[in-house]
Amino acid sequence: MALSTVMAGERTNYLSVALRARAAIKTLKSLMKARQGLLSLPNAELQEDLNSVVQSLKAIESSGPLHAKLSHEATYRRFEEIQTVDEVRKSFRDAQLLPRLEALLSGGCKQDDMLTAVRLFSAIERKALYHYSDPSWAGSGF
Amino acid sequence: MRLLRDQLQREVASLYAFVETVSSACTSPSQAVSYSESSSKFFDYIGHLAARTKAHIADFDRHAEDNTEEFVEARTELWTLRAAWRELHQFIKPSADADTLNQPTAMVAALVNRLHELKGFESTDFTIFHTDSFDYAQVNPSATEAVAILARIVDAHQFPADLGLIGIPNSQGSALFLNCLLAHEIGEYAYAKRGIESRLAVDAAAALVEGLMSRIKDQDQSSAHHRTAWMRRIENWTTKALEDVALLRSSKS
Repeated sequence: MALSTVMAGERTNYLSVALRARAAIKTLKSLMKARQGLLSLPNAELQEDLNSVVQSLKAIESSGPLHAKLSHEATYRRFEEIQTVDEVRKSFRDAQLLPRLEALLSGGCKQDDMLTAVRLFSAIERKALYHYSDPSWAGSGF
Repeated sequence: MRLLRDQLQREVASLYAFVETVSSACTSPSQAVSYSESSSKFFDYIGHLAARTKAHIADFDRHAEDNTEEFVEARTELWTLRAAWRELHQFIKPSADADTLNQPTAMVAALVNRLHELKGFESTDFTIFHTDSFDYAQVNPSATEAVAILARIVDAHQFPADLGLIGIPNSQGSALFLNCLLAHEIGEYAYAKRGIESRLAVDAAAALVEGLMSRIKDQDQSSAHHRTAWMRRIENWTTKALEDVALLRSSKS
């Protein structure tokens, strides 16, 4: 019996999303302070975080039900994770979100793009924590 | 907002004290009991993670003077760290309770030796902890993902990749026959560790949910919450059906 599905269930998945977003924010901020581009620092974890969000955003934008977009390859593959990214995307008012993230992934180091990424990850962290702290889990029995 | 800013110092102090308490519980165990090597490894790691977390938040109250955006973000980080430690906390005391006299040490050793025959599990070991539940439980390796990310945030070492956590009912520490269920939990660990779920079960679950969704919709239960619940049930069923098969079919070479 997997404890993660018995004691806390999907709540821990939301916590993982929040933690990963926080780790990405930390790395992005250190890069901004150092005024260096992504390619100048060997940070595979940040590349992976950015890539995961980009893949999730692309999957969300395609047609079909949300639960059918779970991917093996993306880090944000669990339902709770892709759901969080989807909710944040709807309220994130930046039409250039995807191009900005892709620019960072391809080695760009514009401060505006980095700032957008920090704000996106920050929104993901808050939304994931909101779900993690939702008191309705306590009585749901799921 | 000023009230919230004043409160930040209290929140930092509260988290610091909490982590300090956890840390001291791990670094100074009672001399009257002894622990397995894997349990000691677990306590050492938690102690290290606690030390790094305390160093990380030591001067966190400086954020009280940040601009609004930075201040909100700093409070969110504190909230995230607190949530992570809240999850970790639940394993500390139950692990401390499972000293060598209160766990089936010989049986665990025998099962782990068997597991070592499998490719990729040659150095795997398990920390045993007690649960209040009647069920046996293993902490899915993906759950330690949260610990790994916490370590990244506070600049700590990574959680030992070859260390698993298995829970046994607290009344069964010295029992024999019921503890044979530990073999099942070790199988589940191997199943999860090999990522079989991500390769197979997610597709199976998605396909099954796709088939069931129309019925759920007819019953007006198509909310995201219900969909998530159905996803979990089906993932669990798929996992149960496959985990023991996965261990049996694991290659020894």
